[in-house]
Amino acid sequence: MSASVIEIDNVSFSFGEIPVLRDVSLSIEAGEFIGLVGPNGGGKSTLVRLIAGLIEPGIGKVKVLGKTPRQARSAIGYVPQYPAFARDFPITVEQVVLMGRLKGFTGRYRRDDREAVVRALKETEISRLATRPVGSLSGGELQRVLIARALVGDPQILLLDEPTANIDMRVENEIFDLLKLLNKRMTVVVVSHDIAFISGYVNRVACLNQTLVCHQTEALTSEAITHLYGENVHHIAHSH
Amino acid sequence: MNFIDALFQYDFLQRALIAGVLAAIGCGLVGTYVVVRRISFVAGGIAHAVLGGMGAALFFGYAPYGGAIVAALIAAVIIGGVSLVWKEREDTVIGALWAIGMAVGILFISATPGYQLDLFSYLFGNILMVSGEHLQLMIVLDVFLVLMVVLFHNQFNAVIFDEEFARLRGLPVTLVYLLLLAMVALTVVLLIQVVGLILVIALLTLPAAVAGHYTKTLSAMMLLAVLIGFLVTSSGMAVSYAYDLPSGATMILVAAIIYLVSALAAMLHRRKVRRV
Repeated sequence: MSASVIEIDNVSFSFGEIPVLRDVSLSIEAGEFIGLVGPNGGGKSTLVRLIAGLIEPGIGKVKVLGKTPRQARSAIGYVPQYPAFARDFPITVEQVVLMGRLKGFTGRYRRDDREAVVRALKETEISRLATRPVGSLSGGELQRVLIARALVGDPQILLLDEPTANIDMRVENEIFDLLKLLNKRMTVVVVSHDIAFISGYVNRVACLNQTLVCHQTEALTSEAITHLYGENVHHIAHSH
Repeated sequence: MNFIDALFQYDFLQRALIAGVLAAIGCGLVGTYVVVRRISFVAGGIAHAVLGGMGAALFFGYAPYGGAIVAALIAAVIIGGVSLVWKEREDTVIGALWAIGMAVGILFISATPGYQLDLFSYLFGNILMVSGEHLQLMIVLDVFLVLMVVLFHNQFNAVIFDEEFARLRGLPVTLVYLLLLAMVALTVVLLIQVVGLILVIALLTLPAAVAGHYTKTLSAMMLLAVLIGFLVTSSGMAVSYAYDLPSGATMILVAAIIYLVSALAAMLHRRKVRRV
């Protein structure tokens, strides 16, 4: 049995009065490629943000590599659902990726930081965009920039919150091919609303609708999907 | 006598020109952060709150610029604190601080005999009245601002660009943001004698906004903003000297014209690029 890198233990979380997660326990092992699926408002993003240490659970514990998420920060790469920045910000792609090398309040960028940027840009296949302003990128290119920024710190765990929410199908495939490749050397946790699509890539799916409805490797049963999304889902069988 | 000849002849014009350079440095560096982070309303609030400090300092017999620095920093901390913990009321608090600062300042100044004339120069500035002593204060402020930008540019850049990601990388986001507002506060003080605290926002934002039309990195934007800032202060001064107009207001109108022309050009250029 391989060691678990992420340990979520009886975690509950609510925004004010509104519960988002109830009593979720999940253990993720090193080298896994796990998909978090579920309806909107089901708590997928919240769970990823808990693992990243952006928010703290109301009840329960989250451990990353045996430490708190904040302590394990340097081992985590996080890719947000939407870029949080203004698209007209005067900054180039390589400068954005370089920010993934920041370490606390002090310090300037050194040569190894710049070399890491070159590697990350190459790996995400956007080297040719290095000096372009971020405002001029397409959705798919921007997503690769965000992935490069997460990769440049050499994380052991890559967390992605719906990385393909705003881009077309063809690019979605390319991004997941890239994640599959990255999974050879790191644990990947990806949030998606599209079970059918990601099941071709991930090796385990965890379904969230406030509580953890299922987590399994085998194909989803229609009962589980009904439980997850309610009765009125058109269920189409996919063959892979 | 034309402006250039007068410049060689009169000390006060030379001092004014130097003050214009010093003002341009501060407003180029910090103004760029203000424009990109979209906090010109915050800067405006700090600027107006400063009058409270200047009035109080005059009333109690201290140097008005000491009062300005203290009031500006206090305003920066209050606004920064509110925007971090009580986001939804940020604009109300800034608006209140804006007016309260002015009101307090005017009450203090009206209670201090013989200072009504100063009030006008605090509000609208007068670069032609800059003293050698004041230039020293401006140099100290500039040195501090340049030092902060050189030392912490990566950190400011990261926090302004993407606060959430900066937090993930372990940056003390709150501290960096408060430091930035403190720098805005000191820049306001730097610019008061030049354009007056009512007109400060324009000099803080317009040169940087123009620079933003032509640059694709923050550092390039800062450098260009400093140059444009100097163009604004010096040509504004020349025009105000030639036609005997108030210097602060003239500079602001020069800045506004440059901004309008540049914004129009940028818009036409974008349209042309799209059509091709």
